[in-house]
Amino acid sequence: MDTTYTTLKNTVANLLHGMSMQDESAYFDIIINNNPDLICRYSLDKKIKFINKTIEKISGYPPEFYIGKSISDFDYPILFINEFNRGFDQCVEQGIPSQVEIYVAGGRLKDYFVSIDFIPIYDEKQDAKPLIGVFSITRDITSQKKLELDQQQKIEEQRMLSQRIVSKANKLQNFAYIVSHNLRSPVASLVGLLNLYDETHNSDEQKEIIGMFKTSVDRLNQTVLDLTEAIKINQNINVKLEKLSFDDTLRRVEESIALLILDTHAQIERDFRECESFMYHKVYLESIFLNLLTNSIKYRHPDRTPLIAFKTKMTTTGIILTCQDNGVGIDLNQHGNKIFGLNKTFHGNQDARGVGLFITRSQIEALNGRISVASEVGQGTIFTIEFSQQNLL
Amino acid sequence: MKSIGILSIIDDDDVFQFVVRKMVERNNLANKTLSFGNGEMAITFFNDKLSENKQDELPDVILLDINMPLMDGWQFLEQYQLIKSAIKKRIHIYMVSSSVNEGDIERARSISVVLDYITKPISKGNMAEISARL
Repeated sequence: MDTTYTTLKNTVANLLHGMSMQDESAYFDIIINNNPDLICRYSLDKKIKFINKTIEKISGYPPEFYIGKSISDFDYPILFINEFNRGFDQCVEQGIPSQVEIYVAGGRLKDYFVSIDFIPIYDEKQDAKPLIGVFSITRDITSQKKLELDQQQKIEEQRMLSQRIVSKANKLQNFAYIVSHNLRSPVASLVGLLNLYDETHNSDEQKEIIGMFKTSVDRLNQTVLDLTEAIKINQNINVKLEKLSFDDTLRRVEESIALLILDTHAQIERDFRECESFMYHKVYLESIFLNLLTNSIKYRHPDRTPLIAFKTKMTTTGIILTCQDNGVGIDLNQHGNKIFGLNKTFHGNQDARGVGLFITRSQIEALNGRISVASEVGQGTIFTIEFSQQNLL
Repeated sequence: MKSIGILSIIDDDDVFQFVVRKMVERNNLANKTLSFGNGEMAITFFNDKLSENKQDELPDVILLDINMPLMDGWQFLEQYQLIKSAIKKRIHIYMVSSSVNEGDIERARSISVVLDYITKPISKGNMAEISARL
């Protein structure tokens, strides 16, 4: 394109300096034939009436070869011909210029993009000014398009990167908070108890303090174990993924807590028709099902048979798994940001350690997924897990 | 040391409750100690005493934890602000937490009814200061 443009520029420059331009149409001819764009005139039945000499540089055939033929006579890809016709017809029907952009993959010219402008030609000499033809300007926009796509890709990459950084930063902050609270808390208790111990010589009181000491040490130990587990999950970036069936996995989990299900008469429904299987980490998926299921059963409504429904959905962004129950629900205004934290209890329930959902979230996020919750107190809770697109089969 | 009068500990950590109670017992720091496992239990107590018109049974000092189930320390303070005008007694509130998070500390200090922020473990020195400010 560059060489053509240079040729055109030199030609025009020579003309302006050297010879006197008497014939305006000759001057016009030079511009038309040295234009890097393909310029074409058609009759209304799409027959080529004129094509500039640029075609010879592209195809190797002179303009004469094309005159009287139409685009569909040549061996162009069907997509090209369809788009050409769409632009041409639109121009003729509406009587105003139209434009199409065509991407052609493969073929003799490899991948290329062209834009074609169609401009209607009216017969100005007649009073009614009827439409008598169309002329087109075809421009190669491959490099421009590639640059655009390249930039789009780069923007997308940067968006993904910044998303990953934000998510990492959030995780880190979360961890710092957990360490600052969950580790400091039992340690502070131990220090307090030690001070008390040092100040007393009463052996009964000392025994009582040692008992409390044991409680604190157990808590500290449990917290360290939970944190270690979470760190392990977050470090396993390259976990092995395998094809897993939602139904089979849920069945295995149900079997493992069959007694709990029997005792509570929990009804478990499933609808995995939209997505039956996907690529995931086997242990994580089992753990996710187990935690969601036991969570729903633990917070069942005292007046209702617990009903838990699992469902998969396919969306443009990936696979969604929902777990809906008819339990007591959670007041999200009060606990919304804490529900997936470590050692959070929400129901004043002593054995509710809240670690389950913290681990669940870590397992989901480690594979670039997301978990969210919606709930209404007294009505039930619905957990929504969005798995990453990478997990599609 | 001056007696605190009625001390209230709002904290879900039974070990912390134990440590403070022992400290108070040994040093005769208060006439009475009230324990609440979370903010909701404490607010219910406050409302009950207000409706029974028994303001003298309300605490003089509150040690308030941040992270608690059902109603945490912040939520307790919100509820407390709503009933504060009905309380005739001057109540000193201290936030006591193991959190060393700057955000938590700043936030606690920005709340007018909170006198100070104490980082766990609470010491005898802290208790002496609390009683000296009465």
